[in-house]
Amino acid sequence: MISRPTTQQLLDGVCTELADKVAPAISDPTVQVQLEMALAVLRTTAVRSGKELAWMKEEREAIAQTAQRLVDALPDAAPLHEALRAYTDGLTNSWYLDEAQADYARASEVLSCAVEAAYASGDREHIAAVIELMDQRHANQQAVTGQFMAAGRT
Amino acid sequence: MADTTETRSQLEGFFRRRSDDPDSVRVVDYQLITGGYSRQMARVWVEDGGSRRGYIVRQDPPPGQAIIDTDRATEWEVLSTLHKSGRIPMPAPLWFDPTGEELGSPGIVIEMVEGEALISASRKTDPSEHSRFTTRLADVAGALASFPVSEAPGCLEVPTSWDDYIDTRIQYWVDAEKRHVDRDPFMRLIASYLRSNRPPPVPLGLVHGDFQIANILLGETTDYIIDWELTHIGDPREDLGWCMMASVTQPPDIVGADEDAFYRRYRELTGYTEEQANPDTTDYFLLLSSSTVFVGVIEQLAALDRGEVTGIALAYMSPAVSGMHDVFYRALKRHQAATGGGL
Repeated sequence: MISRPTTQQLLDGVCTELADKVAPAISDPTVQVQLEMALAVLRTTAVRSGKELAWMKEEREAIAQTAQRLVDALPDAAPLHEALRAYTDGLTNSWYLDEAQADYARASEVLSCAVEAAYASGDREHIAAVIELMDQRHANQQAVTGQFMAAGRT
Repeated sequence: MADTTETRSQLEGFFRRRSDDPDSVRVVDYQLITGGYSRQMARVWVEDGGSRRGYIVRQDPPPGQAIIDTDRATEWEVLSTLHKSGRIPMPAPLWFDPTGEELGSPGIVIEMVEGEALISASRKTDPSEHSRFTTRLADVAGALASFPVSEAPGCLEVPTSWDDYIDTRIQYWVDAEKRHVDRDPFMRLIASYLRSNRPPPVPLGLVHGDFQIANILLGETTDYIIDWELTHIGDPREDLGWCMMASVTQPPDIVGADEDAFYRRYRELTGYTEEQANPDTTDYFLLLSSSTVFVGVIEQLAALDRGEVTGIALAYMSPAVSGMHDVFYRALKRHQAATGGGL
């Protein structure tokens, strides 16, 4: 397969041309908004193409580690125990996107259950631990999207 | 959107059937309004019997194209009842085509009032001057929150109690996440956080549902509120929360331009205490209220994921979700820092 230029480079190049040459030639406001939206999608897709597999792996490993500590500390948190078991049993560690996404989805359910268990416990340390995982997810999403501004709302 | 020529012809027929001088009716200008994520909207200028009037036409878009599906019949009843009450400044609702037989899809025709949208007026103004809009915005928010529930449109369900209502709204975050095609820990975090950090209650009241500066028109003597399709009975502070949410993705932040003045005036009009209405309670209600639009957005993404729909505006909801997560998360962190987060 062709690996250079990367997917990210190709999409970035297309975005530059669309923004600099195509956008100024459009006078219809509805089409201008559509192009603005299309550019936002392409730019975020470019960033995702370069990093999403690595980010999903890093996040799910951190989630599994923290979740295991919470499971040990909160023996009554049944949904968390169950979600962690489902994650561990189903883990593929695959680099194919569909399978990697399925691993990540199961890890995300573990994170949701960990958040619920931490808040239900009212324990400051447990809450801080899950917030640290949310910080990681938030930072990755922000790296993809940056400051979001709604297109066409004037 | 249907072909413009066909749309103009449909509209001309519509206005002719409501004119005393049908032969004189001409649609002289037709402009689509961009940026709406739910309804298909247009400004229409019509010549009728020698005079020229402007109208706003709000219609259902073709199936699968709306980000949020709402009901025109409910919207019509809300508009009619609230306008008749005379308590809230809003453009007059004029006609309703419930089936789309005349307009092509179910639609409402509203009077076009003279007035620039607050979002547009404030973006033209130097940020140091934004505070001159703050009290005007508080007046509109206060008028909404003070509207008596006993006079609210009959189609709006009145919750049994404030606690039940808040519980239901919190649970909505959890249920919607479980129904979604993707797992979203932000939604489950919001629900857990809201459960642990309830603010002091206020009486249930009218909630506009999409209260933001894009939906306020500045008039000469009064400011108007438009876009009533998400109106319901709930906690009126939801409108402040959603306004704060919108101020990030569609700036500027008019409340933040003079926060003290805004809350002082809002409390004066509503009778709320300082504990009931302040920037922290607004952050709480940003998280509570945003589910209405957010869930509509993720449901569209789910339809895209299943291959049922396509479209640029729908794909654009993916970065929009990420952008909304960011606003939610920062509001939660601010609330936690200010209140201790219930710990």
